[in-house]
Amino acid sequence: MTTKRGPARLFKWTSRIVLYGAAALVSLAFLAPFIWVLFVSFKSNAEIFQVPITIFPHHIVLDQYDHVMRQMSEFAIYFLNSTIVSVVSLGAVLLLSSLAGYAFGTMAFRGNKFMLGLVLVVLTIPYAVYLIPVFILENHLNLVDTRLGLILPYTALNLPLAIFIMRGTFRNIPHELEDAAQIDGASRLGTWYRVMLPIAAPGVAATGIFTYVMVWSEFMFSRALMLSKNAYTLPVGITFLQSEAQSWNFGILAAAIVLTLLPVLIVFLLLQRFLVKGIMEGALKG
Amino acid sequence: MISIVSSATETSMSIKPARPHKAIRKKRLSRQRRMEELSAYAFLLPALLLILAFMIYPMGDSFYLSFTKYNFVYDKAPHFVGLQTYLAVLQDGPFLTALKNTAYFAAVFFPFLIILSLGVALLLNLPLRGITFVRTSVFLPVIVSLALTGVIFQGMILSGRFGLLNHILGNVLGLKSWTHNWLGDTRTAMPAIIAISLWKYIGFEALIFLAGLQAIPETLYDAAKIDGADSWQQLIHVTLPNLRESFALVGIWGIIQSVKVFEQPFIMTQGGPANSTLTLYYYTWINAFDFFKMGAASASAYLIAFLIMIFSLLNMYLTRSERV
Repeated sequence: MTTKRGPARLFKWTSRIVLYGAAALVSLAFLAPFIWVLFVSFKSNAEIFQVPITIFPHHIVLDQYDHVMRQMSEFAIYFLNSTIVSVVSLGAVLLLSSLAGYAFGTMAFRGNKFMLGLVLVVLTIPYAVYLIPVFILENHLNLVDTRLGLILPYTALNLPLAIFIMRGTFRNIPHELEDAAQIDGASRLGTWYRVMLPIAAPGVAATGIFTYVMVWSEFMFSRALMLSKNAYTLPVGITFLQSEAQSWNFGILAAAIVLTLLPVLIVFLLLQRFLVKGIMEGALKG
Repeated sequence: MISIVSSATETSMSIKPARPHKAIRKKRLSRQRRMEELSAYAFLLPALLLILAFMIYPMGDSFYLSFTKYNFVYDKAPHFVGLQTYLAVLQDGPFLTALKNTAYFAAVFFPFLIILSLGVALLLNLPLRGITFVRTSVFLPVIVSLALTGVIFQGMILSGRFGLLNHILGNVLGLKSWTHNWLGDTRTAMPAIIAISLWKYIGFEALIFLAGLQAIPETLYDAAKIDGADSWQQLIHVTLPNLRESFALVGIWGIIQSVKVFEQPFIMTQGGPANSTLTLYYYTWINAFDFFKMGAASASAYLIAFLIMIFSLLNMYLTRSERV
């Protein structure tokens, strides 16, 4: 993404050094908290509580990870809950948004603008407006403390943006391809699945990573709707781990943070270009 | 004031594939068209049903609840009281504290967010070696949940004895007197929350600005250079006027993040010390899920939505296109 831009050519050598310094500082400012947590997670307790504290771990130990993974059964439960809820919601969002986005992007039907408008309006409303009735509803339907009770709202909440991205993706596919498939006698569903969806893959990837990041980190709905320890997802569970760890063990907390971050970090680093492209193209299209 | 505004970016935005066949189809309500409509509805149905059940219906329901008195634990059903709920909320002491705190947060957070994001974007737009790495590191906090951000900063960075910040201040920079219980002091708790929120959100906004910057055609800079503009003048007369669309987007997103401040105080300060970090969103939460006052909570949730709407309209007005 580093294209040669006009103003940059003006900078001379000295200002280049200043700019490299600035870039390094900016990078460090945003990375420092992560690096620090990573360092702490590899220290022994003795080293963590040493005064004055050290920045780099003198001896790398894996005790903290060992403790989180073997002795903290609740961490495994939170992790499992988060994984199931995320994977199912993600699958549902991808399927439903690529169906709806296809209709919005390529088909003519009455109420098109109205429905799209509706989808866009709900995007700007703060979640708190939805959460209170959803809490009441889920209490009546006995969905509180169930994974389905999170999967349903998570899917719904992430659909509007997903539909919007998928609509843009399908709209930009030349309609000749679609027409050719239909002349060959393919059904609408067949055309969508065999012809359009493969071409729309980058849009699906962008939607997927957006949705995954949102669902993996959602806190408010999870905190309100999951009331028993066995139902907590990671973002909620880790705040309770923190209040337990606060007084006695930073190392375990650091290891738990790293493990919570790891899946989303891996997905992000692998699919980064789709996310960045998605945001930047979305930003241009408005 | 000369401003060179690109028209290339705007035309490229409105390019969409021409679909002449649709225009023709639209004219006659043929069987084929009806079939297409039916299949379109079938494609939309599952998504729209979920949105209806978990967003549209709740939107209506909480609007109704906002005119009722309804304690979820004690009351069998909501009791309609009209505007009284709103009046009661607006006169509630903690609500006014929360309003004041949210205004404080927004007034500091929003301008810093815009200026710093623009600065970072300008930096990221330079052809420096390794700048993609810088972009990735700036964006990294965006993918970290706010809850985890709260845990990281409260537990690892800002905590009194073993936090990184106090360590750097006291032991590395030799400013022992600056070390501080950042989240435990009414004067520094909110600034700390603002700084953390900036760390979390700058990456996203910078990326939107970066997209805008990269869409500015280089010919505009060449023209400005021929006119003898230095880099500062180029920034003022070429770059900024061409970023109008980006400002509009960054603005609306920044407004939403300025008003719905919840996880940061919920996790790091529980609204304290002395209610100094009690925000509107947190106030709404406390009403709903600590006191189960669903009517009052819905009313304040709608007041938040209303605030976001007002400021979004203002933002739209300020960043509107001068030309039709």
